[in-house]
Amino acid sequence: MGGVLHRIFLRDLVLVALAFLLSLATGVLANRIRPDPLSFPYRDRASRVKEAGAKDPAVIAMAVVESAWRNGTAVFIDARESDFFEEGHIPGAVNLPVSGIKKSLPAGIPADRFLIVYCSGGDCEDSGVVARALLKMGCRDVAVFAGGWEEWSSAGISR
Amino acid sequence: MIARILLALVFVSAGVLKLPDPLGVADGMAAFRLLPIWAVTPLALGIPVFEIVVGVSLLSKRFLRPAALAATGLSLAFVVLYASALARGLDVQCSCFGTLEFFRVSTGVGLVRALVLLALSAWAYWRVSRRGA
Repeated sequence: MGGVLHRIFLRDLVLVALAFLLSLATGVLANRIRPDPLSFPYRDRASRVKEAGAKDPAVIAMAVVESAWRNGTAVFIDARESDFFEEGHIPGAVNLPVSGIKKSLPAGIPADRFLIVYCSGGDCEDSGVVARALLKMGCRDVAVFAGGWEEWSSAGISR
Repeated sequence: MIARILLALVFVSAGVLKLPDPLGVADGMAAFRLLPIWAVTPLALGIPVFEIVVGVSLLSKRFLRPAALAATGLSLAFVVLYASALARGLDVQCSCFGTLEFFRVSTGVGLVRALVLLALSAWAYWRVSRRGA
C-alpha cells in the first residue's frame, strides 16, 4: 500500500513538473507576441521610471518646505501607501503612492504648480520615484522633501 | 466534489484575471521580496497559465490526482510567501486575482486565504490518491 502510494506520488510529481515547465514556456512564448512585452529580467517601478529618462528632482530642506506650506505656494504629495497617509499627513497633502502611478497625471495634481513630494523620511525612496514620475508626466516644478513625514511630525508645526 | 469545483473555480479565475496584466503580477510578486529578480518575469508569465491548467484539470477525471497535487504545491508556495512577508512586517497587496480590487487583501487575510486553499487542496489530493491506490 505504502509502496503503491509512493509510486503514485512520484508519477504525479513528474506530471506536475512537466505541466509547470510547459506553462512557463507557454507564458514566455506568448509574451513575445504581446504589444507591451514584459522585460527580461524584471525591472521594478523605480528603475522603469528612471529609465524612461526623467530628470532628477530637486531635494529641499525643512525650512523651505515649512515656508511653502505656510504661504500655500506648493501642493504637497504624500508618496506613502494609503494606510500610512490616513494615519497622518502634512495638512492639505494629496496621496499618490508609487502603486498609484498611472501613465497620466492623476486628477487633483496641478502640473503648473510647485509640487513637494515626501514619504516616510530617512532613506525612503518612494518620494524620489513619484517625483520623477511627475516630472515625466509634464510637471515643471517638482521637489523632494527628504526629511519626510518623520521630520515634519517631529517638528510639531502648526499654523 | 464540492472542494474540487471550488478549487477549480479559484484557480481558473485567478489565472484568467492575471493574464491581461503581467506587469501588475510581476510587481505583486516582486513586492514579496523573496524571489530572485531573474525568476520574476518567467513566473509572472507562467503562473497564470499553470493556474488555468491546474483549475481545468481538477475538473477532469484523467488528471484529477496530479492536478490536486499541483494545487497543493501552489497553495503551499502562497502560504510560504505570505507567512514570510508577515514575519518581515511587509504589507503586501498582491495581484493574486489580477486587477479585481475586491480580492486585494492585507497580508494577514492573504495568509488565511492561502491556508484555506492549502487545506482544501491537500485534502482533495489525499482523498483521490487513496481512492486511486
